[in-house]
Amino acid sequence: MIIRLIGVLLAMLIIHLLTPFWWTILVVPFMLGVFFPHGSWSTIGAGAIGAALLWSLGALYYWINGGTIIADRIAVMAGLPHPWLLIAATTLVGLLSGGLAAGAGYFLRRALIKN
Amino acid sequence: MSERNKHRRAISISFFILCLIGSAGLFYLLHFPHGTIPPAGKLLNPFAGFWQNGEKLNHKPPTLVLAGLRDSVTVIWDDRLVPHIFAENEGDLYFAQGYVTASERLWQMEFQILAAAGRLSEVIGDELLEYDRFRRRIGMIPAARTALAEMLADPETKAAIESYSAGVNAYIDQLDEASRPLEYKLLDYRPRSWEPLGSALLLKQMAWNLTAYALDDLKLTVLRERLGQGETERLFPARPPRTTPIVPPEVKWHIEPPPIPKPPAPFTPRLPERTDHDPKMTARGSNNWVVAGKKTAHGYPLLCNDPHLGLNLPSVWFEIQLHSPSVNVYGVSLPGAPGVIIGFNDSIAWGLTNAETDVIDFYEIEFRDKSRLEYRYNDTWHPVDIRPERLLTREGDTIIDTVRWTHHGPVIYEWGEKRHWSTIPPGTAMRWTGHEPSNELKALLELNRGRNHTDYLAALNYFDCPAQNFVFAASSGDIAIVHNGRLPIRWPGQGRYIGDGRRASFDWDGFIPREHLPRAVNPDQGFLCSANQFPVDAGYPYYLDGNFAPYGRSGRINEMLASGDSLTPGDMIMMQQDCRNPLAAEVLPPMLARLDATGLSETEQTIIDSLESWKYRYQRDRVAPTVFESWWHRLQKNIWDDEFPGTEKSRFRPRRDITAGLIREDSTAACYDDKGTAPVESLTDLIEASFRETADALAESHGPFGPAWRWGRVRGADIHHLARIPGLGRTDLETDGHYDAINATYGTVGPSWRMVVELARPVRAWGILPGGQSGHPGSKYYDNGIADWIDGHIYELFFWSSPNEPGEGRLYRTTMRGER
Repeated sequence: MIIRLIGVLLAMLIIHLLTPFWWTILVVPFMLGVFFPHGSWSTIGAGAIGAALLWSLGALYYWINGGTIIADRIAVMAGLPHPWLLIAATTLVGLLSGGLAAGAGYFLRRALIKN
Repeated sequence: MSERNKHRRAISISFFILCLIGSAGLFYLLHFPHGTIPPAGKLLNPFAGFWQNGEKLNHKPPTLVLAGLRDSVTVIWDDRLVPHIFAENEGDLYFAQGYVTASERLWQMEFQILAAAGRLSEVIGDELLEYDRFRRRIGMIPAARTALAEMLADPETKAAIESYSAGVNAYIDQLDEASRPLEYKLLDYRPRSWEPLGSALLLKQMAWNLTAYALDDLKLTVLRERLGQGETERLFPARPPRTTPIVPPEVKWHIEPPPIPKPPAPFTPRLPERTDHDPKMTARGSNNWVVAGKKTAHGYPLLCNDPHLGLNLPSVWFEIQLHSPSVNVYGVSLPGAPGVIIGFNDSIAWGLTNAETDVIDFYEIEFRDKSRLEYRYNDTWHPVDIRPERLLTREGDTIIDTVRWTHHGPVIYEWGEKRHWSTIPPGTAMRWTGHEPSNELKALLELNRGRNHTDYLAALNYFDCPAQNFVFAASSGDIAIVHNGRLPIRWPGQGRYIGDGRRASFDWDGFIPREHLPRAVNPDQGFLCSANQFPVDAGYPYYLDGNFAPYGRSGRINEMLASGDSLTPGDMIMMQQDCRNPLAAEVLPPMLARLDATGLSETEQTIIDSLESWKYRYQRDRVAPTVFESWWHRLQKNIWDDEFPGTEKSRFRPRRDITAGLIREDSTAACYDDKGTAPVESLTDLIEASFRETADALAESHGPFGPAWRWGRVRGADIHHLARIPGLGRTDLETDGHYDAINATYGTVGPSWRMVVELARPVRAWGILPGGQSGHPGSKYYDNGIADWIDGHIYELFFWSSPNEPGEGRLYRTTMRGER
């Protein structure tokens, strides 16, 4: 699972740095599920944790590096009492997207293959 | 296939469908905006969403290669992020201005032109169609096209506006998803390429804002129907009482106007049943003044300006220094237009306040039939010019709106149409000087490089709309002021009421020649000032109408400058903070004198004590201004509401300066009696009743008498984000000020730029914006000036003669060059 997790994480990081598409965290875990599955929980976990980790670490990096003012403002805009909750929301989106997409890929492969 | 396998497969398919629905649902939820909720997936993406809009945008690159530059350009960003641009030629100078302005303010620039042109529905959605239709009806796009044609016909302004556009586009071209300004991400759209028309639209938008915010034609016509002409003119006079005019009385008029037509027979138009005034249109309060060297401590002229506008974030203005072999100017620019609007160079300084002179008139139109293709004029039928306007919406719809133009101008609202601005009379055409060809940019660029009084006057010839009071000082020692613009020649009373569009006698008959405009140069009194007041004394031979400010601010400035001697820049900075209201000084003593102290409760007596020790200064930590304002407001209501029935939205009450005069001069006027009650009320009765209401109402709203009643808290001041996005504005600010004081901060209006210039050699200057240089909400330079602006601090400005001048205050240096 660790290898898959790192693989997903790196693949998503590279695509994120090259493209602006947020749904990378849907597509890459889906691909993982289709082409590099392991057990169901381990695949879904790799997708979910990979995406959540990447987004939370990414958000944390930019928050620390000159992002405190913008995070404060967006938190007020979103009605959140503390900008930490933005990191939480960012992580949650990663968790849900990565997990659901990996699951979809995994079960698609299971439904398609003969055994 | 075994039963077990079939079973497993069915489970897999079920899970697949579940996960697919989940993923698709998530995608739908996070990829698209929902109502006012932005697309959360895009926004939260740490690598392209809002996390990318932090402080790193402040870091300026050491070199930039930009196609379109001829030579290399150096930009020094100072410690408040003011760019100082040093270019080898003017094309490069305005190109660089476009680039650096866009790098800080692109979203604001584009949003303002979409708003000006009536195109907000394209990016926000069809809920803004009514607003957009209004912008089309008033002819903003034709007005901007006419202005653009003038700019393109002049080689100097053509080069400036085209280079500026190219610079803006050079910035837009290198944007990617991650570096897109925040608001584009929040509102989910992309910047389009910038066109020179954008600059024309911005200047027209400013013209509209400054000429149309208090349209009185309908209101006065309704009042004349009810009160008669005499009473209307008495209670709502064209020339406000007790004003010290802009042109000092020592100036004698030796001008021979062309023959002015006699007023035609009065005209009674059809009037709508409801006549709301627009409560959004609040008082403003720009000031400018200039002091000659003989009254200053250092012997140099001093020039001050604090133009008051509706305040927003990003800040209305963008500070900049522009330096090339032919110009070296510092001041504030309008994000989206080349050059400097208010500022100084090493020889002259200039400042603006709004002239307030009426340049918008309405004419009742009689159409021949329901097709509304012809209208009556001079007893013949004339065809209307049908101009279709295409409105697009974010939802993908196209709406064609038809605007009918007469020779007066566009018909804005037909009878029965919902009016976005209720001050615009239905069934009338609008004549506006803003629709006529002019090249204000030429005037500004000429001022930017002006060297003396002659250059200044020559530049003003190009400035038509919005009419402004241009104050001027030169390091040679000259001081001057001109009430400048394209002002129609009017017969007395013309344009005050809705005119008859059928008769030529109601049309404008030419414009006041430039050399006849109200003006003064080097007066004996040693100073000149304007504060939106009436410009001239009774000897001036032309009739002027408008929405001139009450005597408060102009009176105070005149009083302070007349009594001042050995004035320093520090005195000027203090003066811009002055928050004494002369109207309060005039009405409060008689109000207190008429209040019978017997029978007052202990609390009421404490309230009275706070008023008696008050110096009429609207300081944020004082409670007296709160009490007085409430008392004075209630007193005005109690005097007038029976004479002028209606709702708070539809009521027209005589203005505060009229009521103040009445209280001072006529203690037995009939208006003091409440017509709704049997006994005859006196002024004293109203003053006492208003006081008791005030004490009760304030206690109810703010608790017992004490610090919670302080002016700063009760009045409040808000600087909202331009698109009113929550979290991006600064609200509930506690500030000093009042609209009849020099520091006319009030609600959402205030000094949009404070500037003090000492015309020494070298020139020294101070300035502050209520916000900051950056338009990026994630930047500390977005609102770093607000605290100092509230506290009355001001920054000394860096005015450099070369990029290599030694000294402090340099933050970044960028060298821009063209592609080799």
